[in-house]
Amino acid sequence: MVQILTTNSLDLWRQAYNTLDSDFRNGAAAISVVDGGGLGSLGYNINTGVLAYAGPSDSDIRSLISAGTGLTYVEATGVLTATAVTPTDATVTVKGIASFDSAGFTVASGAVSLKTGGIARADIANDAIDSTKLSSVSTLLIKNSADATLKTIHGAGN
Amino acid sequence: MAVRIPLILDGDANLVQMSTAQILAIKNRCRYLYGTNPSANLTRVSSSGTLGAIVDTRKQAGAMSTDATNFDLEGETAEPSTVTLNRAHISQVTDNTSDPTNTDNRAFPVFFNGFKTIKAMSKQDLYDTFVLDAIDTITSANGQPGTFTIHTSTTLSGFTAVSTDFVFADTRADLSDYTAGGIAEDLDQPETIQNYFLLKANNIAAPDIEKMLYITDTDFDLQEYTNTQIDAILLQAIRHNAAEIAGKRIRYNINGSGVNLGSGMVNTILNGAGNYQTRFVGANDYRAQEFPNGSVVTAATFRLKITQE
Repeated sequence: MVQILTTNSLDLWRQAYNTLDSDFRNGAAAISVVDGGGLGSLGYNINTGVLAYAGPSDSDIRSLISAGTGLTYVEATGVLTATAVTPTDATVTVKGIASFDSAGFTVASGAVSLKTGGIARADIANDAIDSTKLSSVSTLLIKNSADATLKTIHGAGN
Repeated sequence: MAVRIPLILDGDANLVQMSTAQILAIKNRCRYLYGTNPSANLTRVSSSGTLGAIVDTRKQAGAMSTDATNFDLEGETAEPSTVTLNRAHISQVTDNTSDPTNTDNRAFPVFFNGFKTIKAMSKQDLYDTFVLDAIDTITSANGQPGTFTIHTSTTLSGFTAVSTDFVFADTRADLSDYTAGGIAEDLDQPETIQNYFLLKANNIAAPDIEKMLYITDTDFDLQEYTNTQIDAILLQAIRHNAAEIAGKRIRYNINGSGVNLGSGMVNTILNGAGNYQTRFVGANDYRAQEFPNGSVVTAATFRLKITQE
């Protein structure tokens, strides 16, 4: 069905449109954007009502990077390269590279093991071993004629 | 009585018990040491020897009888009589001795005391293990080191005379000295039949011994005795037992208990009733006298003996 708009009808439509347009304009004016800093930016077009965010650029990010000890950095390309490291052997007081004496240790797949027979007598401190560490400990007493024990001797085995 | 088995080190320095032969060598060493310095001794003295008198008897002639008209008959003359000599020429002398010192109860050799224990001998262990057996041997036979004997001369293989003076002499009437023509004969006209002398046994050679072990002063380790060290202990031990320990003292006697040492000292005598003899000297002098006569018999035998008491 076709409805014929009368003059009055157009006036009413125009009036309504203007009312809406005014409301829109008033709303857009009420919006603002605050860019808090940092990389990237956020903007707002009051005329179009468009909020636009631009992320950080590559250069922004590369500029934040610097090379520490043992590295070189090319900002233009963003490439970090490790420089040659000359390691220091560890000492009693300095951390560094440690190695294991093959006479006493074996190392396999990163696991360090004490080698059989790897502990020499000289490696053991004096008085470090007591009778509890002996296998099948056997004891010999030395007594005087009055039965007082003067000395106890421990040995391994029966 | 606790006899122990001392410990020694073998060729590999292992602790081992001494063998029976090795222990016997120690006992023989004790005998040798005693021979170097005996603590019970005999000496020859001129009189009053402490072993007492050894009696020598002999016959002497009866007193002569004289008559102016005829000879007294045999029944009227004096019978031969007995002369008695008490010879006390042997004296026993014992030394004053003392026990070896068992310093801190660990001066003497060690032994295994049961399982896994090494212990030092006590003084009595030392005596029981070595010394008493050695004394038993010393007193078991003639000629042991440091002991004495009787012999009919001053020389005898294995012995040395204590003195060239006799300790006993057997005498009898010398019948050849009595003659009718000699009446009145001296009553006592003896001859020496046999002298007896005191001799001392020579020592044996020092037996080789294994080195026993003792507990040291400082750290209670075990250490081998030197021969000088163990000899000093054993010598003092055997000397003390031989001189002073009741039941083990070495003592000598005459004809008491014990083992005979050397020759028996025989007192012989003539057993006759008298040899009646007469002599006509001249008018008014008819003499008669009875001389000793008869067979030689043994009146007594005296033996030097060694014993423990």
